Amino acid sequence: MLNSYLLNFKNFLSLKAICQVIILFGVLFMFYFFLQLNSLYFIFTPSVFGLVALLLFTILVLLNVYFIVILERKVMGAVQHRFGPNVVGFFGFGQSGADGGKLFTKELLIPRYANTFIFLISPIYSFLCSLLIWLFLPYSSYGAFVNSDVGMVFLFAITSINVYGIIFGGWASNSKYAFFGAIRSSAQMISYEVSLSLTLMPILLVVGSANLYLIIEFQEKVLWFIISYFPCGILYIISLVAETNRAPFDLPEAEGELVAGYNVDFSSLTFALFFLAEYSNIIISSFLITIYFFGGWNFGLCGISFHFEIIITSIKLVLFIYLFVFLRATFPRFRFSELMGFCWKVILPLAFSFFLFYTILTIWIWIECFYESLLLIALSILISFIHWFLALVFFLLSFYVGLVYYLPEQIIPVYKKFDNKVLLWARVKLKEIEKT
Amino acid sequence: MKLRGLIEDFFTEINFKFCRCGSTFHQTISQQILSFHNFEEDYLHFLTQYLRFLAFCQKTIEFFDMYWLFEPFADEEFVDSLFMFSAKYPDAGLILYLPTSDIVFMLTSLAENYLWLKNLGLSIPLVFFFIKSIICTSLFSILTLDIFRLENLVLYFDFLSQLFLIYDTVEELRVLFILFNFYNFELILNIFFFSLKYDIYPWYMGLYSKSEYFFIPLGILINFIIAFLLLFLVYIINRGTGISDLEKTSAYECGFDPFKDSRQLTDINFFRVAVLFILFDLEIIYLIPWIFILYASFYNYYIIIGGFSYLFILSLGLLFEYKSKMLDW
Repeated sequence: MLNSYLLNFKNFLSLKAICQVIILFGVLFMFYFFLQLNSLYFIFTPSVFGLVALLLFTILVLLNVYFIVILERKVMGAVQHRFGPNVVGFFGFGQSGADGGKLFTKELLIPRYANTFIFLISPIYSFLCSLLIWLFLPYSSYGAFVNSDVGMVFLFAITSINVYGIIFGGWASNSKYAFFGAIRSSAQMISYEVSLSLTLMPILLVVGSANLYLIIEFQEKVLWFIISYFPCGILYIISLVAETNRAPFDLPEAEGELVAGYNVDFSSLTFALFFLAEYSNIIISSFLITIYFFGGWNFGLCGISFHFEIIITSIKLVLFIYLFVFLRATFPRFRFSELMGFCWKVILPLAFSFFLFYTILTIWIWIECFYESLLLIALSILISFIHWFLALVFFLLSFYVGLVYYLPEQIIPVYKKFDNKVLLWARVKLKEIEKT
Repeated sequence: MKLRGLIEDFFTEINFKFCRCGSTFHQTISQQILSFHNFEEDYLHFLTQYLRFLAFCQKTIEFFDMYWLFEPFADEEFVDSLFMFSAKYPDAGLILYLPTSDIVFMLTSLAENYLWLKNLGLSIPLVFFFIKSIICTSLFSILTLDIFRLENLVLYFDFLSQLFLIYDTVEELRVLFILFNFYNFELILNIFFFSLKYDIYPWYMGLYSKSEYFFIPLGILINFIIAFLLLFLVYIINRGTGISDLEKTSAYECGFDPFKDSRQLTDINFFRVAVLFILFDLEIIYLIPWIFILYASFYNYYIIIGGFSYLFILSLGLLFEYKSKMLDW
């Protein structure tokens, strides 16, 4: 596992791949820059103009999805020692357009025993849910389409509703693969949703409002939450990856067991809608990470102008999309029982305990030493350092555990020998010290 | 109480930043609760909003340029009549001159230095009510005169012109006089204030509208229409191409026809996970308001203990599930 990981990483940093990815990023940035339509909503008040703005916005989002699909394929190609899509268009940028055109001209096939209404509604539903979240996401300090005071709760709600699309799709197509895939993925999404919302509770407690704008502004004033709530951030990212059904948690798309999960019987545009929803969910999840833990549009050190804000959000966003692709390229897939155990036995208790810890800590700080703001900042920094240290220790420990338990048996003796040598060396040294 | 004041100041400092983004809806929960009791602040809030709106009114008036109305009067007769009027009633000019300038000055100074007044112990609504009553009396004293007589009209225009002269100090307030001195002053003003607060001001400033949530159903509608239209288009394009066949439309499995109905019994674990999910999701649903209440009550002892007892029971439940191997697959 480690070998393959390192090998992949080496290819990951190859010059050609980097060049290709940089060009792609340039195109992506362009589109993100156009997304500042989002922040001009004050011209498009709820009216006909608002409708036009929303239409433009959805089209831009779909264009983003278009480019991110190519990005993923390119990066995966670079990792796996092959050219990615390089035939259609300049550097293969027209590839997903060609794919979309192909899907568009395919026959819309409805299975014999399927419930037609639910079968046709479910892709529309999931597409709708994934595009609806975009209204709540603030790109810059000018806010989003909907600057609601309960934006976070809205996001929870929509993400939890998202499951129904998959369940309906799997159930309505009336085939066994689709059914089991749907059940599996719904169970997975449900169980990771709990930890997804539990890890954000400390943030809610500190900021005191569910407004996304305020959350980001708080981070600008004090600290990025990834520094002050490091373990929560890590747990959040892991559970988001599981929530979006991405690798290494992509059980619904397990080719070996279930052919394509809940997607099996969907053809042409019904499949395309599911596909679009999935990829826009990836962008949204990276957006959520930036909002909750990486300070949204903040540069970190100093204030910046409006246009730079958008550029910085887009940079962060693309980096996290890159992380998603990186995870897919490097990590092997979980077994389903492992996945569920990982959620209920590891992530949920950890999230729960961290939530308790942070609530106690914040309450203590607020009651005891709120008026001494310097002390507060010093305390937060100290605590964050402790967290970083603990996280590092746990990270190294996990590596050790991985080496011992998951490596093939051939490699273990080498490490054992190494350990014995170290122990022997230590014993000799100790004896020397005792003698002196 | 000291702590409470400090907290309040801290969050007001933060929230003044968000004035460009929105209004009261963008405050924190604690501040909303505080401001619910703090009527002074609320009053000042919509007064500032109103003053901003007046700039808009001024622009519109400048656009229509009402001064052309006074042009016919600007001849020798008019000037003579003015002189004559001043000769007839030498005190009138003074009477009108002094109170208006004083009122205007007082209004501006009060609006600017409301904090100073607050320290004196005067509540701001009271002060403004006082000033308003002065204005009303002066205006009604004018209106009781016969307006249709030219002399009184001149007197009235003199009053207005004095207001117009003080450009720098009161750009907005003069428009207030023009718009509202003809009718029942307070009633219309109060109605207008609230209409401004909820309808016109946000539209003008373009920062926040109450019907912001309108974008949600609009978004749902648009996305649904896009998806539905695409599906319909695909159906129309590829209608005649495919051949419907029993084998083709059968569910995807291995080469055989599907043996049974696919809606079979499944593993009990899925059901168990669903039940657990309901429990923990409910927990989170209760935690969100708990956090807000905790925040709003400035960490009340009883609320903390109540929440923690709830969490303790839940954690015990999780431990029990873990020990009895319910979480194993």
